[in-house]
Amino acid sequence: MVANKPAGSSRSSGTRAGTGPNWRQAVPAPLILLLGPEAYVAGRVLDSIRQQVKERDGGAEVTTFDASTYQRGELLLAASPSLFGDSKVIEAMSLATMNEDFLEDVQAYAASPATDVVMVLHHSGGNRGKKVLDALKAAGAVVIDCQPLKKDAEKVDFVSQEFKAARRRILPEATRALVAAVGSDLAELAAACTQLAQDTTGDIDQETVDRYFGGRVEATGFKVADAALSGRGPTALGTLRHALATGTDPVPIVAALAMKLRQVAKVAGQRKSSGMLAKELGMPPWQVQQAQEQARYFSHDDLVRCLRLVAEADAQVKGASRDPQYAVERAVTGIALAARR
Amino acid sequence: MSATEELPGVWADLPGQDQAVEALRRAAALGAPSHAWLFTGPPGSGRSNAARSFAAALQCDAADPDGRGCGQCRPCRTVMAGIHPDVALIATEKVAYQIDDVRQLISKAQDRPSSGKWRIIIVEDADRMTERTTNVLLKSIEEPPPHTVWILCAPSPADVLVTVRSRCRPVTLGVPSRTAVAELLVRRDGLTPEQADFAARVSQSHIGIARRLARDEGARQRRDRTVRLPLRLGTVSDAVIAAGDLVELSTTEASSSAEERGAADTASLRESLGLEADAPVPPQLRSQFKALEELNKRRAKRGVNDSLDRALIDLTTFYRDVLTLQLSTGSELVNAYLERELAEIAHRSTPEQTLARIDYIAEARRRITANVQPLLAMEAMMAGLLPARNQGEPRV
Repeated sequence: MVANKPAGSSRSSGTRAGTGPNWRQAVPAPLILLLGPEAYVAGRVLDSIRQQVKERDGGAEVTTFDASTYQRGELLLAASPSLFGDSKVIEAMSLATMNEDFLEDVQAYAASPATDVVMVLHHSGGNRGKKVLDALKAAGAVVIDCQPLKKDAEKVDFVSQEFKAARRRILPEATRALVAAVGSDLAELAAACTQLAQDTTGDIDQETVDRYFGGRVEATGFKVADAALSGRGPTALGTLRHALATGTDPVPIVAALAMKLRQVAKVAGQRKSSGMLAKELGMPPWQVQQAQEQARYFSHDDLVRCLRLVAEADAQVKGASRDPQYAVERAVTGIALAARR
Repeated sequence: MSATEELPGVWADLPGQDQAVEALRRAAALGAPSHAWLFTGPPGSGRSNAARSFAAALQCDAADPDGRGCGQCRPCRTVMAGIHPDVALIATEKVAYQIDDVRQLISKAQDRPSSGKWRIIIVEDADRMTERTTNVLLKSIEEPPPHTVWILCAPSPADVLVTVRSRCRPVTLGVPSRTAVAELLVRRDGLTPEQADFAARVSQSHIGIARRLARDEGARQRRDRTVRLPLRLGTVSDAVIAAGDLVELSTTEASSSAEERGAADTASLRESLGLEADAPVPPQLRSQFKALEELNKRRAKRGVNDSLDRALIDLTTFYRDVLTLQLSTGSELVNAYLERELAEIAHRSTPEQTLARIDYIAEARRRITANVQPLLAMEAMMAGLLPARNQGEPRV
């Protein structure tokens, strides 16, 4: 169960109606409602439905609408029975920005859906068209969740499902390496899985993953900051380059540096236990421990210098300097050099 | 006119600005004022009050031209109360004016005065305009309709574009003396001479702040806490925590007042649109509520910046006093009540260090206006204020 985590917890409106079937097991039905912003999952469901219908009936007719540019009556036209009795698939995209025409037509259609038509609708979230969603659910639409995968565990699960579907075996450490390398975008992750499944034979182990995706790291500002504050200069600069090259803006990287440095500075020189500090500073205990560990690399004056360095970098990335990337790099280098291991 | 003579009418509440007042009275008496004025003076010198008094004098009904600004007639009273229909007082609550706000002003400037002699537009903080926004004003300031008078206020002539400066007649206000401010506080706000003297001293003759400090116990305490900050700085950990406290204090203060304002504004918008308090907002009207939210966010940000800036100015006075003691200039201390603590710090550090610390504070003020995260700017500053590790010896 990958995309099927309990939904609706974060939303107050009633657009989520509990959990539907897993998207991998979606089968054609008169009304299928895809709810959630993950376009990749929605695309996979659409493909699979289309294919299943075509397997049953080679002459099936597929019509696709964009709900934001829909014109009145198109739906009725597309859903009316064909002279030759072909089955039909109607796909309606971007319901989150649907126009009034679509809203009214779908509501009317949901009251009496045609039995020989498979209609798939994708709504990426938000309040627009809540009435339509409720009407569809009342009409017995199959609701499939398309929530993005946020946690690494979910992504690992996704990868193993992908390989299971391809009837291949992947070792756990290879799965983790793959997620670490290309896990930020689900479509990219799925493409990587397909590539590995097609190009290799036998079990997939860490070595295979490294051969295909080695040297790629998911770089975030926090990883950069952690490496710099632990005095791992080369790693910090390498990760920073990755982050900048993959389009991370310098501003959040400086913010991450500032946040981590702040934590270190807060615990520096305090002789209390981590538990007491955690309570006093309002930080979780693991954060305090990590900060204490990093604080050992710095002297008092080093920390003062680093704080000033990061503040200067923040001013520079916000317009005081012509080269924001250099400004971050300078701050990262300065911190990593100040940390004495 | 001597400094001790009581000024009449609307001019009474401008302590220590005799020269500027004299020039303004003469202009009002002649009855043909320039079409654009630029009032400059340090914060708290009473720029917008002077502008308002001048506006009142221009609209005044007094029979004798030299007695204009009598403070008794209807136009005088309505202008001073800020309700005269032909005198617009404009101030922004955001970090800077938006170009659309200024465009509205310009169309207003085209209107004939409805009841008074002049249509007067007072822009209270002309320094809060970006270059692009100011350019929109240029044409209107250069050649307004015959009955329109623009009055712009800014801390210094350098704060407005040179093209604006050259189109305006300048009026320069000075820093009023402490005694003049104290005298005003006693006369107008009914404070005791001791209270007034203390407030005028610690606010460095900023009339508005002096009055708030004298009246509001909370403001006095906040200022005291800020000024004492350097006394409890020991380690870098103290510095970061103190910075966090300072930022949180100003953020909660600013955001709670902004939230209150926002809720009231939303309620009144709902009322004027005819929506029940809990009725859903129809999609056609949503943009209006969005705009209100946006405005509120800008107001909160300005509030945080302003209150941090105030705290930093207070903090500067501490090091100013330290430097005064170190250099034995003999001038008066702003924080005279902290003399013992000041003397101790003065003894433990060098004038060079004190100057460097004042620079750190100035840098933090600059950074906050340059959109650096306030917390980060304050941390860097506090770290700079930490006592040098080898006490007694200057760091090389």
